[in-house]
Amino acid sequence: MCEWCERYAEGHERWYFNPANYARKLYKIRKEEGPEIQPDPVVAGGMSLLDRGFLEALDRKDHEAVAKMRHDVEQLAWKVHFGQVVTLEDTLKVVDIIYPIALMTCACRRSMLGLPDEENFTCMGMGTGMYKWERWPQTYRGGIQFLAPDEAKDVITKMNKRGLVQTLFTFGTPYIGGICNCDYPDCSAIRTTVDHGIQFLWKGHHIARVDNELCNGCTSCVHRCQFKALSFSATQNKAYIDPFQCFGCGLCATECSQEAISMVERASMPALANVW
Amino acid sequence: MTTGWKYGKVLKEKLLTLEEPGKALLFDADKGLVEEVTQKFDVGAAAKSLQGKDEKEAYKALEELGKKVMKLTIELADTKYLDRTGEMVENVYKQTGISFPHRLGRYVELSIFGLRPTDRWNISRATTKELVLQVSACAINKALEESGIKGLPCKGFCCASFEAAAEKTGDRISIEMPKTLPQNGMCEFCISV
Repeated sequence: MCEWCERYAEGHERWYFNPANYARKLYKIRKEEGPEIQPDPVVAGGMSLLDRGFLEALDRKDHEAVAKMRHDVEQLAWKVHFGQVVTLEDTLKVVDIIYPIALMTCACRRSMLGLPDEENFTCMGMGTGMYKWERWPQTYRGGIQFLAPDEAKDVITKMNKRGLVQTLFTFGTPYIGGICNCDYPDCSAIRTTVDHGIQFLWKGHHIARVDNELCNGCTSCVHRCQFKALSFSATQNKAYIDPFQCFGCGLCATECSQEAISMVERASMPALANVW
Repeated sequence: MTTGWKYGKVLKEKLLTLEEPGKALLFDADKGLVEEVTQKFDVGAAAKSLQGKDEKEAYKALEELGKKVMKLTIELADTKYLDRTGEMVENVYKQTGISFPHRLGRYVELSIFGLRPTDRWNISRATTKELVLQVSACAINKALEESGIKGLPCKGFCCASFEAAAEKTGDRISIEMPKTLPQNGMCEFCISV
């Protein structure tokens, strides 16, 4: 059980299966006449606190400064906006307890790849906030498409086939307001977590395990891993997954035609049960 | 790794775009709606008028009041005080074909704001099958208590108003109350379709 399950699962199997973490009021009473004060979306991103100073501290091996900055950024992120990796199966279950769901452009790929809006609809926003998407014209300048749950499941399944990792993101923890379909290095959360060890992204509740009897060494799974956990052992001609590095997304498992990779519960492995 | 990778595209005919970028839109509930509903209906006076009646009679009278409050709320919310959130709820319904929970929830929330703006309440579940509303401080319940009316006849008010909203949205709902004031510290309404 992760820290978020301990705090917010309220009897559900996982915190992200608790419908209360997706439910919010539609309205509050308008206080003042005139235009409403628009929330600043930048506030949501603890990642914006990471600047050149952090990289320079890393370069000069100033461990104390790095640790402090990492701590400060993580504390803010966990309070406001962070993600957790989720398997495809769990993501599809989540779709049944959220509404509305809207396909929107990915801010990370917009900035990393300069991807044009019309080719960049890989993120999903959900919950009552999506009825107010026009509040953030910069974020939604490419527009938005609302999806019925079955349509959303189709989209997520396609993204998974294309090699994108499903992640759930909070917007004021524990409120979960986004499903992202991410990959390395486009996704700033994956990149910051994997490259700099700042935990914007928590590992998922599963770990991938290879059955060496079934693995035929085809290597088709290797390119699917976005977390540098999967490698190929040339001497054994088998896939190898580092369990401490595995984020439990299951992309390798969904690619394996031999069904040689299975997803096991993190909690069932004592050495990994608290590795998030 | 990702060069040439195909990401997501949308159906152009289903894409909603910013109609007037930069234009300030009003998403929150309008104070005018709250004031009009509050002026039209007086919770304290309604409670006093029920003094001396038994719980069954009080329940029936409150049912009628609930329907009237919701009728006025819907009328105001869809015309004079139509806000952008309401418009978008309808747009999304047109796009997905899914009415529940937010078309109904919108009227429910606005009716609470309208008649009892100081209530403490929360939405604890809002899926396409279930809407759960928890009311922990209720002006109607309090007014009835102060007028010496026993029991919980005010659930007639809430249930009738929610049903009136469902009639408007075309949702076939059922309502359960697993928790009630005062013993559970809240009234919990599980509205399901």
